[in-house]
Amino acid sequence: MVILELDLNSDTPIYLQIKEKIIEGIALKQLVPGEGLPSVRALASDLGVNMHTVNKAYQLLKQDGYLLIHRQKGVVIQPEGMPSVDNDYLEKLKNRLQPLISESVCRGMTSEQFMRICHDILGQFEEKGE
Amino acid sequence: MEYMIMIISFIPIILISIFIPYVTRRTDSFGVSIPEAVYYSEELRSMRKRFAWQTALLGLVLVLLWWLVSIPVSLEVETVVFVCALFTFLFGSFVLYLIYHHRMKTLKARKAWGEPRSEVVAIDTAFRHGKIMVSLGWFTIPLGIALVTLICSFIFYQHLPTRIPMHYDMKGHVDRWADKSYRTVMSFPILQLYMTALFLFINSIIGKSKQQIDRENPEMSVKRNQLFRLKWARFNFLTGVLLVLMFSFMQLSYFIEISLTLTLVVTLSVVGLIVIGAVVLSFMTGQGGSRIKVGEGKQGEVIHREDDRYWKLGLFYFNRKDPSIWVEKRFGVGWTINFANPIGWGSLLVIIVIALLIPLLTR
Repeated sequence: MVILELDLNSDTPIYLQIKEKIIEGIALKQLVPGEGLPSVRALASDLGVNMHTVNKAYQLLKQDGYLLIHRQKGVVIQPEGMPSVDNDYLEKLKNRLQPLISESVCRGMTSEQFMRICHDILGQFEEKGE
Repeated sequence: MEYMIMIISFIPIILISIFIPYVTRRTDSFGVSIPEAVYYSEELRSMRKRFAWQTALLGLVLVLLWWLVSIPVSLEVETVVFVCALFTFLFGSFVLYLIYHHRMKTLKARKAWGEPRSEVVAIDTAFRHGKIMVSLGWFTIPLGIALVTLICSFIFYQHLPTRIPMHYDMKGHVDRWADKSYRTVMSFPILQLYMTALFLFINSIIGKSKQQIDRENPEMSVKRNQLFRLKWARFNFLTGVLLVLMFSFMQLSYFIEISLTLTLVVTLSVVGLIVIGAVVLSFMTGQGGSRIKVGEGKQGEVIHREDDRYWKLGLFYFNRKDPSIWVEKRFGVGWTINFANPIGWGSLLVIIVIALLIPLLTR
């Protein structure tokens, strides 16, 4: 079980917020493999957002290997393990970190400061994951 | 007896109207969304109190008027007077509500409770994994009762008198008869099947309606709302079973002589039980489960989701961007529809049209 919290006024598109929150829920072990998620219709109704928005988030999560969308069982967290750290993923991760790190370098952040933040964030998942 | 019927319908309506502000969610006041902490402020307390007293006064005056006027007149006129009194009350309390709704809106703008505007929404992905409605299997009970009534009516058809009473006046005299036919015999069983389908539908609405949880106390409010839905789903189921049983009893009165007093006692107690049950349950649960105790939480200081603009007069939800069909009412206990969604009012229309067609087809 996870509480999905979205800000409808945020600059981040809603489908991305849904996607990120679900991945975060899995990382925090609040959502476990095999656990059911609401149907597209139910989630759209509860959040008060368009069904296409929810569908887009679910389709992206399915593509990345986090979700299974069954015809009968509905939407479930991938029961057969999460996608692995392969070369494609490493490439993607580097590309996404590049602008974030560039920005912090511009602002004069030391690598130590940056690493500490990474460490803190990683720490959240270790505590909750036990 | 006729007094009983009027009292049984009038008094609960007055009582419910008086106390609605006390059973809404703590984040709503007279159809306007507010920070939870404000609900307990002195200002809003006294507003609720004044509304309750004024509604009570209106109800009292109308009941007294009805009583005074109805002493010297005939029964027909008395019924008209009663209906007038009832509608005057409904209209009057509606106007009172509108006044308070407007005051509340002005107050909110003045105190800037809605600022800065926030539109954060929180939901629990496992909300519907919990038990929030009555399992479908239970509805085989009213279905079975209806079918047994139907089949027995056909088996014992030849024992039926040639004339069946169809309608009673307020004094309990039969004022409309119908000739015996398969059609007339089928009218109650068909009504029972309709009722079963209707209460099954309401059960599914209770399960499906939009989830609204408090972001500051998510676990508690999820628990509350789940209990709220389950309790009302059970009440809905029991209401359905009672009504279906009552119709079986009325069907039985076609075949064997049942005294009028017994018939009245049975119907009045069924209706009375349902009405009293609804009032008691409203107070126990409050809207959305707001009166159910599940532990101490903190009182919210801000409005998380500012959606007043979609609530016309604080009563009618009209939001094209929301795919929800059924949502919780803002002023009262229960659910209403998203008027921007044609499926919502379409299904209400179908329910009403069928209800009107049944007596026409079986007469």
